[in-house]
Amino acid sequence: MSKAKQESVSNACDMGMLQAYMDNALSPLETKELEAHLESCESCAQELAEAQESTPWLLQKVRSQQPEDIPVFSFEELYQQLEPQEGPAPSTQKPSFMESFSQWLGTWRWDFATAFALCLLLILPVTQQMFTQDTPLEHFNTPSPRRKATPQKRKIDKRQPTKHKLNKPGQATPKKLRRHVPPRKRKVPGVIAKGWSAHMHFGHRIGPGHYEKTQEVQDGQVLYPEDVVQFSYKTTQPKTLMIVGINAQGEVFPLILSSQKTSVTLKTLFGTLPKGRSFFMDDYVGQERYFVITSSKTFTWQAVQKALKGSWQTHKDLKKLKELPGPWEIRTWWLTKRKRSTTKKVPQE
Amino acid sequence: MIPNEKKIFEQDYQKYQRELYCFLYEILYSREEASELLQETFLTFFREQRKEIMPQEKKRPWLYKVAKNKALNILRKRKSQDKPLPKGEDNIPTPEQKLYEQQEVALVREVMGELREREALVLRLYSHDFNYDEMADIMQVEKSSIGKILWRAKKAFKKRYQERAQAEASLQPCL
Repeated sequence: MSKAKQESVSNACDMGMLQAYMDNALSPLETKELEAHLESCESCAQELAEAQESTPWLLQKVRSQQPEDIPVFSFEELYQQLEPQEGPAPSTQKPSFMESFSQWLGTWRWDFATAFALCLLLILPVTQQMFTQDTPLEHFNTPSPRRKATPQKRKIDKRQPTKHKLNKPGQATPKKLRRHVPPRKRKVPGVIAKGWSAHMHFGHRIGPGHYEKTQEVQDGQVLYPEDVVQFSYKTTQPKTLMIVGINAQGEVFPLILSSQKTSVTLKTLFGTLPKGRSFFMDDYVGQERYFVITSSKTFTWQAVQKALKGSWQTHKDLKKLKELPGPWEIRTWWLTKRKRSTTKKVPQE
Repeated sequence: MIPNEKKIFEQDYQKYQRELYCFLYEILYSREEASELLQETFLTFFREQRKEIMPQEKKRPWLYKVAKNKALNILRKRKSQDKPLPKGEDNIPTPEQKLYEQQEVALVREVMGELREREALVLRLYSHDFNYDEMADIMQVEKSSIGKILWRAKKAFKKRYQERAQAEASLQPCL
């Protein structure tokens, strides 16, 4: 009787808490509560004592399962099995489904269209045939009435000259059979990395202190003196960044860099540069190219100047940026700067 | 791109491969399968590291979690095919003084095999010195229920071990 009573008491107590208490996994408050409970509950105290006693024995039993000799596996062999690391700047951020889908669609748009058209061409006659026949088996076993009819039809066709049907060497491929060559994959200019993005916005000056609605700078954008410009960035990892420009003479000039003539360390993962402000376009007339260069480590203005000097038209020279510490990434825009026409009319591109 | 990737990977590998091998062996009792899964687990781990660098304290639970999932898959497949439990290190010659130990190891193995999957797992993790947070993470249960599972597992193990030991009469529990 008393034993049954004792058991019912122990069932009411939370044994999980008791175990956690033994393993110091309770919060200070829970510990206090349990200790208070242990003082009043004899069965729990007894259980605890038993469990504490048996724990080392149990651990020893479980650990006896471990193999006596542990083989040493070579790391080199394992590392060989691993794929080599991807290019200099793998993305840390997975593109969203829609992004990757639209990218995929962009690349394969034409192939997709051709494939679809081909499928239609192939399927239509087959489906027509399928619907005109009674059973699919007949189609394979006995020639259908339609099939019988076709040779007769063809006989009539035979009267027509057939030489165009074969494509002799040197002869132009009939238009219908010409394989569709997809257009070259269009690259978004300047975007090399996916783990971060940079945008450049501008606003045309209308009058003193008045500007047009800001727009994103596209390649070949025409800007005028005193137009406002701002850069915005987003990144998935801490980065340091420098914004520089280069003109058609190959002169490199800084747009944004820190006072120590090094790259600016970004304090937030997204924001604008200059922070909360914008800057004005100068009076330079001609073509310019602006760069946002980022890296995971601080780099100097001298290094960038050296790397970019003279690299006006080509991306090739940018390889010199390899000298920068850390993997660098770059975004670039082409701009045309013009003098504002003397009339005060708002310029239109 | 992780700079010094190979070095970091090697450090992690050297640090965890032995204990992870033991853990896998304890579940599977097969050297071949344990070493195969060990390699698979580390390859998955390295690939994951490339995607996202893991804080050091998360690495060990992560490895155990993946290893556990892979091992349990094999174990379930074995059960569905009704394969007998591998005998472990039978190919190693047994010196006479080790006979008792060998018998006991076999007994514990049988008892562990009789326990519920998660009870056996919690005991193994407990013996590998994981804290409650990590155990909860590996087993994908609430932290608050770890204590309960562990308590039940211990009780069940003790009970079954004593029953078997008495039945065999040659072995006495050390209690």
